[in-house]
Amino acid sequence: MSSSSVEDIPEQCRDLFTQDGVLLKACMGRSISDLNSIGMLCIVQNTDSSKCIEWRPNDLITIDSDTQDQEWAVVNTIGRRQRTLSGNMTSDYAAARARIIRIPIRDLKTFKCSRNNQQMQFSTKPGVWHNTFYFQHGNAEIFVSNLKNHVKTAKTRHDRNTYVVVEPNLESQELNRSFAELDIFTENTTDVVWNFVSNFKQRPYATTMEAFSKLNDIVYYGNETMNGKRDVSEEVADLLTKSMSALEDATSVTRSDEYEVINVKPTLPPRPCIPRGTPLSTEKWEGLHDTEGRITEVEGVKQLIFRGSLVEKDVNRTDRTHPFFAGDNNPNLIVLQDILMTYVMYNFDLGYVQGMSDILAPLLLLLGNEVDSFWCFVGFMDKIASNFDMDQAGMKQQLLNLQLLLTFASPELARHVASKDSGNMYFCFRWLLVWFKREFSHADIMR
Amino acid sequence: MAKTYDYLFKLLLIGDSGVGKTSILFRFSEDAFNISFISTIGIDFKIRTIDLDGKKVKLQIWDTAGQERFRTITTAYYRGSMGIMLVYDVTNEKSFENIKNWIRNIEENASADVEKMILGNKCDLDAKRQVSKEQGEKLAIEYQIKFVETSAKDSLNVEYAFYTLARDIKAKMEKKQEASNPPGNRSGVHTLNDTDRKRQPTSWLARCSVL
Ligand SMILES: Nc1nc2c(ncn2[C@@H]2O[C@H](COP(=O)(O)OP(=O)(O)OP(=O)(O)O)[C@@H](O)[C@H]2O)c(=O)[nH]1
Ligand SMILES: [Mg+2]
Repeated sequence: MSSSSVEDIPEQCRDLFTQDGVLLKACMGRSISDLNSIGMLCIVQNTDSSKCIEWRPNDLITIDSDTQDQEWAVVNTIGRRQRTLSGNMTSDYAAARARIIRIPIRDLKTFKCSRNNQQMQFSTKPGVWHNTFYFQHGNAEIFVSNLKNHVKTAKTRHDRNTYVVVEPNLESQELNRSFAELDIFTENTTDVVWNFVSNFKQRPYATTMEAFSKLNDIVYYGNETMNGKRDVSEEVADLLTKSMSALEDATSVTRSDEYEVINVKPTLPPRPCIPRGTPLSTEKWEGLHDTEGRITEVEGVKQLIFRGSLVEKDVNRTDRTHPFFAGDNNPNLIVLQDILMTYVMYNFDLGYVQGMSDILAPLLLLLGNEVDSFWCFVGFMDKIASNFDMDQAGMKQQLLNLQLLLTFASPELARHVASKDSGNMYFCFRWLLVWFKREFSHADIMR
Repeated sequence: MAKTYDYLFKLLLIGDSGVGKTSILFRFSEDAFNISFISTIGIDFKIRTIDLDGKKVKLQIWDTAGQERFRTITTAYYRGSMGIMLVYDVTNEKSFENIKNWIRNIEENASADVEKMILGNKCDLDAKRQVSKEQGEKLAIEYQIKFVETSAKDSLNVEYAFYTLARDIKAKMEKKQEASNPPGNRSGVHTLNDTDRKRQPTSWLARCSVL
């Protein structure tokens, strides 16, 4: 059964983002009667944690009026769909359900905004626009920025409003994301990068010279991109893209002696002045949050993060009573910090959250080396990343489960806890967040 | 079974990560200081019973995590608290500027009559100071909140701060309770440990009674 078929909609999906008032303008393979109806465009997370873009016609959506508690809103949305499905709706409902449109994010190839940013089109196959939506309220801007949290994209050069999804498979997703974030390559990041890397491993000298010679060509012989009017980062990005794709061409037919040594000194364009700032201080970091603690300028922050952070503050407060981390200027603290900083780069979206250093410290203690500890930490974080999510939804779900479990196992205790205003089980937050790491002795943790 | 205390006050410590909330609480409850303290995850609490004008007052003090990621958890504890300590670090200007945001957080989440106090911590680190005592006082006057500079490390004004906050809560409570009775004796002594009493800036006491 195809993944976009309606029958296999999992019953417990979670709406990560919803945008109301979205008109279905065109959809391949749909009858005309389906078109021009209003609905809700959502980003949905399935139970297997895969995600999709989903459009639901309005007559399918029921408003959840009995759950107003903002605090638990995230948890409540899980229940919403269940309730909808178990409602006493009949064939009308089934018909409406058949009108849902789902685009698995892993299949998404390109999307495009047009008409004043009010129209959005999606494609899962090059050259064909499968779905067209029209945003009645406002425009697609917020939707696009939310979508970009789930896929890494690059804008195409000829059309600023068309985005190409650059995230082919899940294994290398995080790493690709890191590369994509660096914004060095405008197109088809992974292949070029990996080709370059593997060539570099096999033939370091030739590969390097090839890359340089291509760069040189572009600089020396002038190029249509070097008209001096575009900003520096764009120039560099294009330059690299060109040299990289040129390199790819060259290497794919294994012409290893293709480069030429140029003796004439090329006249370079004036060197752009790039002022470098000081490392990110804690002060600056805290200043990047707005009043509600949100980071307003995500891109700026990411740039700053490479130069130091809150990690430092925590490293100095992690397991310092253990001989391995004790004492001033302990070199193991630097390793601890380096791994965490690498992880911040590796998984930009999550960033650093207090508690991570607690999880890493025993791993480093056990493995004793930076590389193994890093990968081990990555693996462990994959398991428990939801504990550290921005909206804390993962933690809230666990606390809710715990509360249910307690109600079942010991109703009396559950009643008592509730009577003491602790029904939210927040007092167990630390236990769960770092897997009881803080509750047991070092010796017990290491077992 | 007889109660071992006359009053139970719930207090809360808030402020940016690393300003020294846990250290202040550790100083107050354990009379100790630990340079390599662990960061607070979610929330934590300590208890100490103090003697206030002949009454046993049990202080249940909640310590919160400063990082914003945990804020949904920590703000849940604002509502039940009767007194809140707003802590900043005198060597970190941003933590001082953020006090305004923390105050707004209180206004949004705590009960309206909650007692507040601003603490400028780490005042032992004079060489690294970024926020002057005058700046702290100015902010405190602006918001009509009591203020004191503290050092968890040197045990400076920590006892004083908690006693002051507890006394204010007690006074408010007694005023409410015994609205018809003559006002209680508010000039009674409180126990300060020696370091505290010795280093108590006298100008402070004067200002306190004005505020
Ligand atoms: N010199 C000096 N250092 C202090 C003082 N108070 C705390 N510190 C240090 O500041 C660092 C942070 O202190 P914590 O008490 O852990 O800070 P916190 O506010 O609880 O931080 P979070 O739990 O992350 O919100 C620790 O390394 C302490 O040793 C002080 O009065 N003087
Ligand atoms: Mg703390």
